[in-house]
Amino acid sequence: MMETLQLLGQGFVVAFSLQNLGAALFGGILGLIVGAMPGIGSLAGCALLLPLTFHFNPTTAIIMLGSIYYANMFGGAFSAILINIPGDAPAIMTALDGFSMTKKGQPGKALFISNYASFIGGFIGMVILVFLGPALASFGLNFGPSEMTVLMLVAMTSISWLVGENPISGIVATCLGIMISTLGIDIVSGQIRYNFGSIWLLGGINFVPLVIGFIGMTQLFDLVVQDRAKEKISYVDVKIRFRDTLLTKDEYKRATRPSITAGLLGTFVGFLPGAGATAASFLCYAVEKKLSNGKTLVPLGQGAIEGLAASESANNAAAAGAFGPLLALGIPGSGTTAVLLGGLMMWGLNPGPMLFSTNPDFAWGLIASLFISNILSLAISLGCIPWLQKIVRVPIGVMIPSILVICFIGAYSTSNSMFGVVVMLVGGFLGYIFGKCSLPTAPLLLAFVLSSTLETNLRRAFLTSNGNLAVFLQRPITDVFLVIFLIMVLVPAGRAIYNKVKKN
Amino acid sequence: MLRKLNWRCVLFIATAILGIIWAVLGFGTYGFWSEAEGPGAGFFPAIVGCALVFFSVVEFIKSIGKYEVKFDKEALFIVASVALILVLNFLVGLLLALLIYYVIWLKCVEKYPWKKVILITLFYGAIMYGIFSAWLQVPFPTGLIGLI
Repeated sequence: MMETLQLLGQGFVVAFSLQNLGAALFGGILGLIVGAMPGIGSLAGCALLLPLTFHFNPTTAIIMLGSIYYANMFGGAFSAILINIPGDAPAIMTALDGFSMTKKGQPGKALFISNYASFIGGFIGMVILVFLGPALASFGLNFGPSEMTVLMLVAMTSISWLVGENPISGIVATCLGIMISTLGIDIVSGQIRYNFGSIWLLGGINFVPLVIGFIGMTQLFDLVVQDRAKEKISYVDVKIRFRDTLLTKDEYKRATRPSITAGLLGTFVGFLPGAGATAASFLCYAVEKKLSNGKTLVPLGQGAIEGLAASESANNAAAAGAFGPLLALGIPGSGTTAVLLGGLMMWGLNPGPMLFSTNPDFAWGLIASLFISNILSLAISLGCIPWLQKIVRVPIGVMIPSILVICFIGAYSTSNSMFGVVVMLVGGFLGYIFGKCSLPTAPLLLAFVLSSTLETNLRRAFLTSNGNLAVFLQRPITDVFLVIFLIMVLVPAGRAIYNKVKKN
Repeated sequence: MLRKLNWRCVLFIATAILGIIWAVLGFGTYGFWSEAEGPGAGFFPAIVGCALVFFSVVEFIKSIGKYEVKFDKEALFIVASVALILVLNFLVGLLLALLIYYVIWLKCVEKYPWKKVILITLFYGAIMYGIFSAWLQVPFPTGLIGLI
């Protein structure tokens, strides 16, 4: 325990360097602004802002990216509370009670509670991350190629399993993501493959333009068809003064208990691969509903402080918890953490069990910077409520060309070549078609990021065992992962068959 | 039968074809397995290609006559925007192209007054130029105008 705290202390030394502190502050401001814009969300926000970080050293870059991601979670609540448009999926539950409070003339209090609960949830998540992250990494050190192969399969399947009612669509998207990642040079043998004679494809597909296209540009298609009438809601025109946001002693009391409960539960949900902040906020809201049954001043869903606090605390706790499997095992829990993983890999860092021992400055610096981001995000969002309220009112008509411009500049600046723009455009149009045909894009991006790890370990496992499939059954860890993998594959299939039989 | 096909079916036909290409190249051209070196460069893509064909066929069958996919005509605004930026990029370079597009969008699509259009464009243009060109030193293409 003392050693962990000592390492965290060293992380704070790294994070407190002027450049890293500046990066965290800049990332925090940008993350809050983008998160507060209705309809963008943390995934698109991180994807669009990723190119900004390329010109820093890896530690500073990922500190900035972590800060953007974390502040996005704070910012997402603004549009949910003020105009009932969740900035992101985790903020859906926030909108239930938050917007109800706005309608009752308490938007300032709702925003304060959301920021307060986000801070508590995030802090709990980070404290647990400090102790569980390295423990998870030590456990991961026992993993050989066969364990890593099955673990990657579980990670890929988990997100397919959780997206919508049709897991097979998720598997199709996963296969497509893997196939895109195989373009270019085979990392094991160095052989060129699937470039179809094009020199542009020799180096493979860059992750950043791809994610900007699939997420950022696809968002444009959603915005262009969005109902503009919703923009004219009058609640956001109410001027919020700082003193309107302050809570009474009783209100603090009502917000604190659900924040702590949801913070603890949300962190553990965040640790699960494929679960993420959305699942955490839904689950913690449901738990809060049970816990506070009949004990709240107003029922949950109608402007209850407890519901708002639970949802916001849970999604920030899960956002912090998701760094555990990401750093220790190289498994992103959601689309947004997949973007972070893609960013890490672009800087030549390989998240996984070895990260804490080979790059302690980076791993602990990042964790320490999360604590700083948490404080910075709270300070900025509380101090800037009136300005962030204005950002929520940025008209869609201005957001559409702005996002398209960022997509172009971001895609170009990652490789200083128009090929990046081409990848972004192809990704954007495919993302739109996929969306229309109900094919999820998150599994595609996750598979794209994890594919090289899966392929390398799969081939190593077969090489060491002379092609014997039993290599995946001979160690207890692989057996456990295989059981989880089979459950993830078979449960949805069984559910689909059951539903069909029931229907007939 | 053809009448029951929808865009989702077409998408899964396309993914199945992609799967076949990946599998054929993986098994044949790139090498699936060699006795000396074990799995080759085509090993993993070939397996994934086969899986994609299988799941695409399953989804294709499930989708026949069940989904109605409609594309929004507003999406054409984005397509036209992209085409405009690409043409302008060729002529005047990327940064200028994006600024011109910005003005055209705000004026022609959103019908903003000129004063607002100029103010928003200048504000946004200054941020973009300041961050990417001046600070991060991204060498943006200058188009035909740059050759003069």
